[in-house]
Amino acid sequence: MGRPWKSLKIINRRHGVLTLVLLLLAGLAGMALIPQRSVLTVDEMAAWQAAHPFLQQVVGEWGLDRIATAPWFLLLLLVLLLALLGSLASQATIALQRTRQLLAGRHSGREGQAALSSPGNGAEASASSVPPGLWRLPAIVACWGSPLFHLGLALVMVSSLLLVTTEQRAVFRLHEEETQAGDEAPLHEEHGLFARPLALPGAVRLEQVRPEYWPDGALKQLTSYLTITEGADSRHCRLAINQPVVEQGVRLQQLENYGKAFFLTISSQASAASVALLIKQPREAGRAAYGTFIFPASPYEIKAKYQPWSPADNGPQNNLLTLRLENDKGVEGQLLLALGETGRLGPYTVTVRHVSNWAEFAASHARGRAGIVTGFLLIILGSALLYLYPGSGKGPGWNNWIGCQPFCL
Amino acid sequence: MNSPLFTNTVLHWGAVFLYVLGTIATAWGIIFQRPGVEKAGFRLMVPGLLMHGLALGLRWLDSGHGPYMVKCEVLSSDAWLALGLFLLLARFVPALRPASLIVFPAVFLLVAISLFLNPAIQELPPTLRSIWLVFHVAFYKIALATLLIALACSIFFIVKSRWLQVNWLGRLPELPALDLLAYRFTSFGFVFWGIAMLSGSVWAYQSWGRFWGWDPVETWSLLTWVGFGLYLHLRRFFQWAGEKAAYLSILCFLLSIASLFFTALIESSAHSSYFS
Repeated sequence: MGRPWKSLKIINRRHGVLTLVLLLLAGLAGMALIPQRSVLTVDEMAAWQAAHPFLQQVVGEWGLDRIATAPWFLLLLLVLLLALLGSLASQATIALQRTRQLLAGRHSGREGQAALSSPGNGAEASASSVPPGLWRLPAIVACWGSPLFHLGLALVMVSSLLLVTTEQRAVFRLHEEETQAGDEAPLHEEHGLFARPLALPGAVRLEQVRPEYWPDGALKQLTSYLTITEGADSRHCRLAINQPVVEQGVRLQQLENYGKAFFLTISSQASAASVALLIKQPREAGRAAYGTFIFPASPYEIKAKYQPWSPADNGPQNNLLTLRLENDKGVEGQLLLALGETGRLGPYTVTVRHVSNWAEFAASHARGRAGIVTGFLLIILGSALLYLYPGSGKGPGWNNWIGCQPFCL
Repeated sequence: MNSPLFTNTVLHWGAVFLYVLGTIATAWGIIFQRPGVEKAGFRLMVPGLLMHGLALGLRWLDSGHGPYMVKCEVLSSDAWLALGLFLLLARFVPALRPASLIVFPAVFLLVAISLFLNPAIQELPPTLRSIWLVFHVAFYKIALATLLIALACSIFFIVKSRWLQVNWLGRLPELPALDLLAYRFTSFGFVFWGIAMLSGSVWAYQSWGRFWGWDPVETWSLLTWVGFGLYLHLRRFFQWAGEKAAYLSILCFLLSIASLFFTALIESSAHSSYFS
């Protein structure tokens, strides 16, 4: 006891809680108004920094472009959680006292109403008696509305913190017949403070990607067929958007990014290279798909475009690829090729060898999901008890709603 | 002429017409102290609400999904829910009736704006096919409706406290009642906003594999929720009441509008690709 206990008491006092809430608001306002690294792509961030050099200096110096992962922000959330737990304890104590009083039936008339009202909440106590007989039961249950609400909030916060610190997530992109080895670096990886990078449940091979479309060309569903191989054992699974699969505790999800992969041979007088262009299909139906690729060991950039198939076309999938070769001087060449064709693009000869589909997947492992869902249900239950109990001894009546037990924080 | 979109547009314009008539009658009745005219105004809103509901229901049948994909149906359904909830509450809490001066014009303006947006039906992308999305959208709509009522009470508080000499303002509830109603409805909206955010998180985990990504829409939504939490905390523990509470309530409402309608347009947001 001593200083730590006194510190806990400070954060539970009204000024302490107010300070914490204001600090949280300031942090959130910073995240809302200042571009954050966790949200923007590297190129978008670089563009903002180039456009705002002075702001970038200030923002970079104070770490305001990564508030969500700043230690002070996590500490603030922890302290808020402690304050919430303190509030929960006092709410539960009050609810327990009222429950005992109601069970004992010690109060009636105005005394009963005073026992039901929280001190200092500014509500007018309506002149009604403690509910007699069976009506006492709903009154007892309703006493627990506020503690349940606080418990739900606390559970959500604890589960969120657990999730953030132990979460493992990886995004990988595969074209058909490509395999992602278990130890191969994914496209994108993130893990919590106390977690290691995610290990896939074996080598994952994408067998087929099958998109389905609505009549207007919009995506209806995206289904992928995978084979997961671990040693001599292999398993087949089917993924679709919103239809994940769990393999050895790892949740595999179909993401909505997909498109066409064009495999090219690009040759010059000196050498030849095999290049795979993975172009993302836009979400809007009927729009062309574009991609920009750096041509390795050259001053060039390749801009690629293809027109996705539309059901209205009544024809086979459109695999026509438009290529444009650019450098800092401008456009050096342009070419339109179908599968199997060869053409001249600037100083290079290009052949389209093969076309297939690609898709992105997420693999994740997270603890705390059950806590978040349970907390969610407790919040709903607590809110329902706070607002749907009429608060008057005369039974349900919306005219009494204004005078019922007010929302207590 | 027989196309579903044409029927939908006609029904919506019919509803707007009735809403405008109802608003004029209600305002006339309140300001000039004609209870009969006020009652007639409220009654006119009911067939408007039914017509509006029929339009939304037919659109739901045609599109195969709820009214949460395209901007015009989002605004229209927000207006319908706000009006339905207000009429229901005003039936049982007569002190709320003067809030119609704010709620009714807001409703018909929302519907009118929606009629000028592209009404083409958009199919539901696979990511949005989840029951959690339905909860997420429904709870946000309910939260917005209750916060709109709280806004009305806050505005009335400020107007009445500053212009006491204006006769018709005497028809509004007393200042303490307005203050209390604003508090109640804000706390109700606060709870539903929190539930809406949580259901969105569960849906995000189901679709994208992560509960929270500090997306601009998510951040602004949390900012709004904490803003309302600050309001409730100041009222509960610092006895904030009256004008300063009313101004804070209005500011938080503006945050909620920015959060719901404008942040989805930010390009870096995951929501923008569905709702732009």
